[in-house]
Amino acid sequence: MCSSSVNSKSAVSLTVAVLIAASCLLEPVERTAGALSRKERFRGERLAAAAGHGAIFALLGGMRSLVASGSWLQANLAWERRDLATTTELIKLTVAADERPLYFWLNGARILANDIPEWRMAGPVPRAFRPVANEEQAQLALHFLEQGLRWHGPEPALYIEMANIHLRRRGDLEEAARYYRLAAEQPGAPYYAARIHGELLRELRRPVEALAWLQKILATLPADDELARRDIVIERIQFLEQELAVR
Amino acid sequence: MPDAVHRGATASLRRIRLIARHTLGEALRLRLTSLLVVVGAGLVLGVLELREFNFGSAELKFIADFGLGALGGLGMLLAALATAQLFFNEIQGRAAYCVLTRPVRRREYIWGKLAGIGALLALFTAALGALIAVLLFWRGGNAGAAMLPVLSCACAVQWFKLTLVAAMTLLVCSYSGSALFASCAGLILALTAQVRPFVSGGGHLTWLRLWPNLALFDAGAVLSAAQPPAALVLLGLIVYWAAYMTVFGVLASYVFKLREF
Repeated sequence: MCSSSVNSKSAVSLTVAVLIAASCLLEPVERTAGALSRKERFRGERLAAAAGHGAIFALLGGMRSLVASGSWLQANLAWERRDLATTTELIKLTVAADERPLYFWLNGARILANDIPEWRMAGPVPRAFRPVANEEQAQLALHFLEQGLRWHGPEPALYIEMANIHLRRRGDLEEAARYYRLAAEQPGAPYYAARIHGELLRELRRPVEALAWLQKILATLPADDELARRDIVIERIQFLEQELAVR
Repeated sequence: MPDAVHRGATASLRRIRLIARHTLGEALRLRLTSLLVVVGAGLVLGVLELREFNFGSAELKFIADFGLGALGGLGMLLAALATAQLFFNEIQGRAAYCVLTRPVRRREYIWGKLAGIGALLALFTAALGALIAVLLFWRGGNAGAAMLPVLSCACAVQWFKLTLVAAMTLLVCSYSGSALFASCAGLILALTAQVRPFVSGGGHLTWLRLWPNLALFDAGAVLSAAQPPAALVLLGLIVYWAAYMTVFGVLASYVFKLREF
């Protein structure tokens, strides 16, 4: 112990008063500087999620990649055991620990939407329950991907995954077409998103809209990129033109 | 301070520099410093073994992220523990009394201590940052070299955060009667400042707003942005850091002035 001490209570009051004044005065500066970590509120949610799993100190220390990788590994172990609740929780913890890699969002959503409904059908479960399980899990995965969009902004890969869920798990062509279009409209989107949107419009019996869309995207497709598949787009335009001419 | 040679800003700065140099020398001799440097270097090098457990992000990003995490976590421990230990070592060993009976103002003593610990933290950050940079260059070649400007920026952001933790701990030291209390309180206050994002939405924790927001100094965000922060954001961070360093420094000087020996 030390022999010296501070006897003045006024020092404590002054300290608190100065800190309050400083926090008020520096609020505008904090807002400007906060652009670096503008997702603070989400980070608070992430910390709250991690706190329940004992990972908070690692996160506060900055070991986000490691915590996320560890919980992803555990999620995969739970996936092997077909442990529905643990897999779901660990997927959520993974993205709570590190929201940056799209890998976690996409693969997590695929497990939620495609694998878990099959686990829920195991055992003596009425066949009529399948659409219910499919719908519930699809909604869970869509909500999960919406959270991903909050972090990443309009990311085409996330929109495409949402479109896939609407198309393959829910059979909702209208919504699938909407999300493929959203994906296609983002910079850096893969060319196939626009092609699938056009194809879905045709399947929805809206050939005029499909033709207009394909003609619009054809103008933007580069001639020297094989992935753009201009030939397929031209073929589909010709097919739609013929179909409309017959009518 | 009757002698004219001891008056003026230049003489004051010289005294602060001397105390800072002495503090840095003492800090470098601490076993705690050596221990944390060795553990930090071990953790940074250990990332090579942990690469197998990495999913989702590219190897270079994982190395940088993990290294900065080790730097931040151990740096925070160093900032809180070394500050308390250095401060109380001098008081308990009566060395502080010898200094303060000379023409040295108490505020100069506090600012000298803060500058010395700031220098220690700069050396710690530079050493671990250099180790991360070597690993990045070794594993990534040109891609690793391209990450170095962002890494430097992230290290600077970490240093800002660590020095603020040191300043908070020094304020606690100026009040407290024991190194144990000061270091524990310093760490708790640092954690409190880290969880400030909890209060951004209001609620019953709004009172935490009176404490600085250390989550602003997010080296991970600098790293994931893959480019140094915008000039305005960087300026905002520097102003925020400088303002709180001044607040804590001035408060610690004032409280230390009231301290009875």
